[in-house]
Amino acid sequence: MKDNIKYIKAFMKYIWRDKSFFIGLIMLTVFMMLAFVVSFLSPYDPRRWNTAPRERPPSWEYPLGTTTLGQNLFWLLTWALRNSLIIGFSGSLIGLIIGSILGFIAGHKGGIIDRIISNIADIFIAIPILMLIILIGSLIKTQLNITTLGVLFGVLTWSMPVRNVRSMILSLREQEFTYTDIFSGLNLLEIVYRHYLPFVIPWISMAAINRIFWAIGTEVTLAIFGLSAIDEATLGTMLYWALKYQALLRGLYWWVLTPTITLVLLFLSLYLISVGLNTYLNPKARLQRMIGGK
Amino acid sequence: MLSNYILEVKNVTKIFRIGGLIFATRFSAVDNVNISLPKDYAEIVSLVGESGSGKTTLARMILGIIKPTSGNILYNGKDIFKIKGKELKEFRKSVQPIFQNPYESVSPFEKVYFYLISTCLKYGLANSKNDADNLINETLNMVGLNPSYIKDKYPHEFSGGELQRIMIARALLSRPRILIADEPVSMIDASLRMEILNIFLELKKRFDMSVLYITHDLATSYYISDKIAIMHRGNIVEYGSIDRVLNDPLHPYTKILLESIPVPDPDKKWKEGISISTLEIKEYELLGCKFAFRCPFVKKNCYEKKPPDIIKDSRMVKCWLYY
Amino acid sequence: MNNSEIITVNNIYAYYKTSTEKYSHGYIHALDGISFSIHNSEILGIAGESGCGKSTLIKVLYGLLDPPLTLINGDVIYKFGKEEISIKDKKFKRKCHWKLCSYIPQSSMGILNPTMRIKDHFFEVLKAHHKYIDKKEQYENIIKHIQHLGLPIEVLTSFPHQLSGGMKQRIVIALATFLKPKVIFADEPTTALDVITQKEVLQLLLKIQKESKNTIVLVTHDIGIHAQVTQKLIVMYAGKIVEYAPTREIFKNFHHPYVKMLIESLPIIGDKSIKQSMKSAPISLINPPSGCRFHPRCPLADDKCKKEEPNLIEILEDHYVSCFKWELI
Repeated sequence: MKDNIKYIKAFMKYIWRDKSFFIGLIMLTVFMMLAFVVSFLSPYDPRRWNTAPRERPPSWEYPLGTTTLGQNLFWLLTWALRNSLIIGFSGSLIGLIIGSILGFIAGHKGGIIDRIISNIADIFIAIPILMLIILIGSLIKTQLNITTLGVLFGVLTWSMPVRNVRSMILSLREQEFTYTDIFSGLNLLEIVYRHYLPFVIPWISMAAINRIFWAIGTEVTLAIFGLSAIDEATLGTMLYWALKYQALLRGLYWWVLTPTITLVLLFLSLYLISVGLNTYLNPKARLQRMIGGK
Repeated sequence: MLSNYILEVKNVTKIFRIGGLIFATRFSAVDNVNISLPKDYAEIVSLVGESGSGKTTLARMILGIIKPTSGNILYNGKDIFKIKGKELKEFRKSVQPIFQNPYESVSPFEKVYFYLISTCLKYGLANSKNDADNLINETLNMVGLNPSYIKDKYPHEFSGGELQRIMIARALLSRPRILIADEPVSMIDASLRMEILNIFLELKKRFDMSVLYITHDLATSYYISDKIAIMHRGNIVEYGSIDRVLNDPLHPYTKILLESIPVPDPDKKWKEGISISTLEIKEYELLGCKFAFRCPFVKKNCYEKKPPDIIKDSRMVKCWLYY
Repeated sequence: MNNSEIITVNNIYAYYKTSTEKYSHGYIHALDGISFSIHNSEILGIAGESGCGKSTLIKVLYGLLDPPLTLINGDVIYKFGKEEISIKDKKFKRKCHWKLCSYIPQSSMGILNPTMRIKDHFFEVLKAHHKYIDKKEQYENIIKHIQHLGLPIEVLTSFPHQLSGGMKQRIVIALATFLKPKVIFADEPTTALDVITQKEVLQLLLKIQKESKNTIVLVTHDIGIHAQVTQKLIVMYAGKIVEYAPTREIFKNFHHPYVKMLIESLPIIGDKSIKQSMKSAPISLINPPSGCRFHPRCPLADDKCKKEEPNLIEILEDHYVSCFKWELI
């Protein structure tokens, strides 16, 4: 326990020093607050039409303006953020967890199990995911909602981590410290927890963040084609409706800019966090800090 | 079944396949090897070979980390790949390894003391942390290290020699019968090697521990061993007492090895050597003796048939010359 | 400089800049005041253990002064005929590398391009130094050179990955000697090779030296190789020269405690006596010990050794030692 507290303290110190990481973290916190706290404070369902006067530019009363359909963009944004982030997290994590476990089994067991898992994963990697998603999306259009989108993304992206985790485990298994662990009496779980994780976690956290990027971005892509859950509020569907009603041509720039700028800032914050996290967790950098510190 | 040997490696072969799902090439890293360590007394046996000779693969099989393709390895009469649970734990306590690079033998993010405590507690060598500390202190003194110097330090804070001694201490905690030392001094400066080699001699004398010393360096192997096995491309080509084999070598490979060592004495310079200008390919796949391409005594028979193990002059030699 | 000296090393101080958080702009004292000279047609060995500075010394001698290696002070001057050129001269690399001096590294990987056949490597070397080459004519020269070294002609049309480690190292030697340089620097050229190949490669080097009468500077930690191959030997410790004498003198008539412990701790086949090891104590090159750098491990060290640094003095003809207690050894 004492060690864990020390780790957290060291982490805090690091965040304070690395300014870009700090900024990224603050931005993400703001978005998370908007998405998961503020959104529940909305006085009405912002998706409903005509809950606000139409096509008003940003003002004190309506901070981000309103749409042609009579929706308050501010509350709509909070709901959209919430749903996009849910899709992002679930889509990223489901696939990552499935893929990592399979990759671990393949790398550790070897033999036929490894070959079967690797070959199936390779087949899936070769399939263009975007095409598949568009296909499936158009087939089950009516049943698309936030949950199904998240699950869809998660299930279709399990194959990438398999290769990466498998190769990491393979190389870690051959390291001599694994043998020392075995001869010190440690069992597999302990070896993984104490000695593999420091190498695997940096990769997993980077992968998780990249996949969040991808999931949110793909949802936007789908939405623009009209293949997402159009009746739900997501950053993508906001853009869809804005483009459908030709907001830009008609000068309703606030309708287009709101989701766009939010997306840009969201991606920026995720990027800053991923860079900062990598610099902190990367085993080589950690080693440097340890050696330099003494 | 009572046996005279504590460790017996019987006709062990290991074949690796490299390649893809369907098409792959095979090569035998270890080919029909026999070695044994006696039960009633301690002995230091050297396994000498160049890289690619299969000595590390053989070491890993003896430790039970890799499974042989054919043949058995017996500890105290029992096949080590057939034992489980408590018996397996006893085996691990009795046969412990030391690896070449001490820095790679531990995780750089872990304090070295962790490995010492872990070994004590996991193998039931001590019942409480206090007892464990005592055992660790005693063992560290055996290798000439001060316990307070070790505590709370990470691997990078030690020199190579010190870290290697800590690794030896870890292996000694369970008071094993056999130490499997895979190139334990290769990464240590020549002037500091004697410290560690002298520890091995002490362990044999005072604690009756046998050591399987794996190396490519004949001089250090002469210094500590009683017996020596020379490995070439997976075969043991000569095996016998150290004085016999190194002072009166029979196998051509042993002879060439001895002639090639750079003796640190300017009065004992190399004799003019045999120049080998073949491209040294495919020695693993030869049907006959694997040394045939480079042997100065090679005959036609050598290319076609593998020589058997022949006993001559109180040692084993694998060469058609002595048939 | 007398006539037979072709390289003079003057008071070299070469440090590595470090920038770890604690020691920002600290220096690792790799070489602290090294002076000696290399003579024509001699085989000089540089011995020492990890951290002694021998690899740095070879890099400085060859002019490879890439950051973080900085030459704080001192110079290395080459003398070819009447011309003198320093390594600090901007034209040094272009004028001298491969032609007047060449370098054999520990691993052939840095020199051999995996996408080029061996013969193309030779052409590259030629192209770098002559503007126009007649490929056909030069190919004859290359074949002659290869055969002269006892290598099979088939290697010329092979790619590096098709050759064994020993063969690659021999090719690197062939490349390094092709333009008949006057000085060849070899940095642990045989450490990665097995013992039998090592002997062959070193004998090849000796053969070349015998015929072309060039100078070889051989750096290795393996004292046995020095005994077999070199004529003169420099032993280094923690960035300083501790003893410098003809090789036979170093082995049979040493006068420095470090050299004594080094030689006496070597195991020899046929000799069953118990050898003693040196006391292990890590040397810090960032904050080297005061006075003589060897004093923490020296059984003869006294107060003077701890305060003052001994200089390299000539105790016998051509035999230099840097120790206050040399007479006791």
